[in-house]
Order: sequence, then structure tokens, then C-alpha cells
Amino acid sequence: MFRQIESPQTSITIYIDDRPYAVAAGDSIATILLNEGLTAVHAAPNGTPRGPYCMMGVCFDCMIALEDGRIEQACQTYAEDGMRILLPLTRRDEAGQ
Amino acid sequence: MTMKSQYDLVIIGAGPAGMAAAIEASNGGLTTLVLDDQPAPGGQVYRHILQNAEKQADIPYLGADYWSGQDLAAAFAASSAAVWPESRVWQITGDKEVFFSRKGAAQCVQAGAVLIATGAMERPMPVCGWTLPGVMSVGAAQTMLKTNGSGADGAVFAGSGPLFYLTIWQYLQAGFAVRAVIDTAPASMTPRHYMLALPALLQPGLLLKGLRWRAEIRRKTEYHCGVASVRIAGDHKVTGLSFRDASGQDQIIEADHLFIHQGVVPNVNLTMATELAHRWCPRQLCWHPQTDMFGESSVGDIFVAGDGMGIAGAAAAASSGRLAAGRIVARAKGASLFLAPIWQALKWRQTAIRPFLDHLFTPPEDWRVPQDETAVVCRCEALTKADVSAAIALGVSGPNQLKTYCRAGMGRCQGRMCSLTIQKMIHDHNGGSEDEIGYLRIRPPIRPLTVGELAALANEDAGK
Repeated sequence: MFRQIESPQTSITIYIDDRPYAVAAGDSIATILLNEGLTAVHAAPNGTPRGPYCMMGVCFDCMIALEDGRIEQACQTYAEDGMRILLPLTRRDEAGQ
Repeated sequence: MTMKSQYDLVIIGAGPAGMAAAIEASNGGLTTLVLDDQPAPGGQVYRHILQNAEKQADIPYLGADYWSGQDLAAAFAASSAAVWPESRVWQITGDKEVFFSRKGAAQCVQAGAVLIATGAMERPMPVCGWTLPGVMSVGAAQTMLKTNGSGADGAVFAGSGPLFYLTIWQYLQAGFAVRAVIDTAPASMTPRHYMLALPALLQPGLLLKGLRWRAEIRRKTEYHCGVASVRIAGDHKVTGLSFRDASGQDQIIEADHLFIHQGVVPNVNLTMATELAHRWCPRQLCWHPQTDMFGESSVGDIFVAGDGMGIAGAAAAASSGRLAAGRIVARAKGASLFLAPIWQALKWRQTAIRPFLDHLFTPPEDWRVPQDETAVVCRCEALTKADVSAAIALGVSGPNQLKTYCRAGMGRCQGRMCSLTIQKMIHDHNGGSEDEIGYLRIRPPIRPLTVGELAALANEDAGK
């Protein structure tokens, strides 16, 4: 699992699948997911799990859903206080697919 | 009629090429706008540099090359160029309108000239299991380190190339435990390597640094080279790596994180979508936009600079940005180009080591096309080598036709992660020239766009 050399200055709260996480403002969502050990984020068309791969916006394998319905790249989305993120993989599991 | 914002020069990307060009152009009196993907300048090479600079003493592990970008980033921040971070450009028209999205809303600006400085991306390394969660590129591991001071203890690194050794070296400096290093570069140099190393002697510092990194990695990690049959193991996430070592023994190394790398290539999606002419570079095994000595493309007043025109490194990228901006300023203001020969010479000297590096780190065939039929080639559509081979066997002339047969390259990444592999597979099957086979036809928008995002553009028009 990833660890941070220095403990982060956590100043805000975001919600990943309704669970609160204290995080540093401005960190990318992909960074936060990896630091929390959440490497699997969404599912490919054949159902296999995928997660952050490139961290620079080119692989499109870290797709997350935002509360307003937008689907974004987690590595290109930055934490803001109160942000709610849904992991497409979890939603699929809940739906029993 | 709507009134769009107008700028003499719009630069896309705030890496070394974009930053250097912006400084040059704004000093030359051009109204300059920089649109950058990232929240802060630096590009990938100097990512997060201004934020990190505040606590430089605490992060010595990134090394002197990283910190050398600080002056450029500071000069860029102090320049009069307008900078819009988190702006994702998705189309440039022949009339030099630049369309982009920012915070979920599409916008458009009118440019007099455009400089595309969108840099490089890592070459896809399609090996069995590379889609498993926990497998990431080496560049991704480095991004975690630069932006967050994060690393994964016990990770395995597999691949080769300058960024590969640099990142492992940074990991060791930062105190992260490296489980093993699987080096895919040739174990010994050929006479041709030594010949190409001669011009590289113009950059002795770089050569020595590379040798030092490799020596330190060999000393401090479990180091394997000359391996075969590499497979990434795991069911729902990576659990390890299996391979046959140089002595013919089958080995399995367990790991929760695996970082892979096979060099970098120009990120051509924007230059391709803008319909600039490109040429296959047999030395770097990737596409280069065709430009003149100043970086002007086949479309007038659209320039390319930095690694997006061919891999040459950060220092040469800054020189190419200055050259392009100098040309654009000279054309707009009727000024002379007296500094151009100096930048040209500097750029030539900054790239002396490249033929050697390109040859030493040419990705071996096994890493360009997977050996295993079940390995995924197109990540977005989850198509394996067998799927793609079956479509190629039906008879296709290039990646574009293949896409209509099996959807390879049709997903969200728009071919970034598969087009070079597919092109190589078609080339292996059909023969002929790489230029004839071509790349996928990339069309704007070069990133997925929502109707909601686009609606912002219509509202903007209606409101004026």
C-alpha cells in the first residue's frame, strides 16, 4: 500500500461511497484512493476491475462518478471540501451484477 | 456574431516547452494565453515544483534535475502571460480557434498563433496482467512521489529507460523499500552502442548519472536482467510477477504494487486531431509531427515544441519552446531572429545523447506486442491479443479499419494506450511501411465531452 513520507495536512472531508475521509485540499482523487488502498475503481466492459494506471490523464482507467452525475478521471479531479465520490465498481457490486 | 477572447499566441501545456515559450512571447510583447491540464505549472517533468519549492529542504530525494526546473517555473509565474490551469483542450481548428473545457464548462478562444506543447506519455507496455489494479506505470509512481510524497513499500519495477532508473533511484533516496527490479534493457552493449555513445560524450554528466543510477540500483535491490516469459499474476488485483530469469529458473516475486515502463513517446492525440502532418520515426518507434526548424507544423501558424515533436528531454524542450516563440514574435512584430542560432546550437547540444539512449532503450519486440494471446491490448474495450489478431486476419489496411472490425481504439482513451501496439501487429501481419499503415484517425474532441459541457458554449454565445 502507498504511504506518505510526511503525514498530510488534512483540512477537508470528502466522501467516497458515503464514507468520510479526512484529506488534504487539492490532492487528486486518484492519489487519495491509492493512499487509502483503494486500487480498484471501476470495471472494464468485460467486468474486470480497473484502477489508476498513468496518473496523468491518458489511460482513462480511473473513472469515478461525482454526485452531479459527471463521470471524471480521478487523477484529473481535485479534492474540495464536502465532495462526494462514487466508485463505479462498488455500484456495480451493489447491483449484484 | 459572438466576440471570442483573442490572444496573439495560445500555448497548450505548461511544461518546460510551454513555460519557456510563454516567457519569450510575453517578453516580446505578444498577448499570450497558456492552457494547461494540470492545476499548477511544470508539466510532468517539473510537476508540483512551485508547491514543492516551499519545502525543498525536506524533499532532497527528487534530485537536482527536478529542482533545475524551479527557475523556469518562477520566471513563468512572474511573466505577463495569462495562465488558465485545469483547462483541457479538445479541439484546435484550422482557423486557430482553440476549444477547451474548464471546470465542466466548454469555452473557446481565438488565437493568432498556436503552440502545442503537450509533451510525452509513456509507451504502452502490454504484458499479461497489466490491467490489474495495483499495476501502474513508473511515471505514475513518480507522480505520486512528486505531488504527494507517496510511495509503495515492497513494489516491483519492471522495464527500462531513463525514467525507469531515475524513479527507482528516487524511491531509494526517499527511503521506500524496493522489492525487486526487472531490467528489460540489453545486459551488455554492442559495438553500435559504443559508436552512438561517442556524441553522447558531449553530455558526460548525463552519461555518468545514468551509470551511477544503474550501479546503485544493482547494488541495493534484487536486480534481474535478461529475463523472459514475464506475466503479472493476480485475480482482482496484482499479487506478483512471474518470469524466467537469465539462468533459466522460473521465479515468482510477490508484490501488491508493480510499476512498469518502456520509455516515452510524443502524446500525439492533439497534433493528430488538428490534422498536422506526422512522420513515423524508426529510431524512436513513434510518430513525430512534421515541422520546420522552428517547430512550425504543416498548418501555418500552428507550432509544436517540446517532447510532443519527438523525445528530446526537458532541457531541449525549453530550447524548442524559445525557438518557436522567437519565430512567432518575429513574424508578428517584424523583429529579427538573432537569438535563434544560439537556441538551435543549444538544442543540438542538449540532444547529443539521444541517439545512444534511443538505441540502448529501444523497446524489445516482446514488449511492443504481448507474447501471450490472453494479454489485453486495448484496455478500454478489454480486447486481448487474440481478439485483435483475429480481426487483423480478416484483412485490414490499418488501425482505422481494424477499429470498425473489433472496436480496438474506440474507447475513452481514444487509442492512446493501444494504437502503437495495434499498428505494430498490423505491420507484423501485412508488412509494408509504418507510414502507410498509419495511426488511428484521431478526431476532435480528443477527450470525452458531455452535452452539459458543450451547452456552456451555446449559452456563452447566446449571452453575447
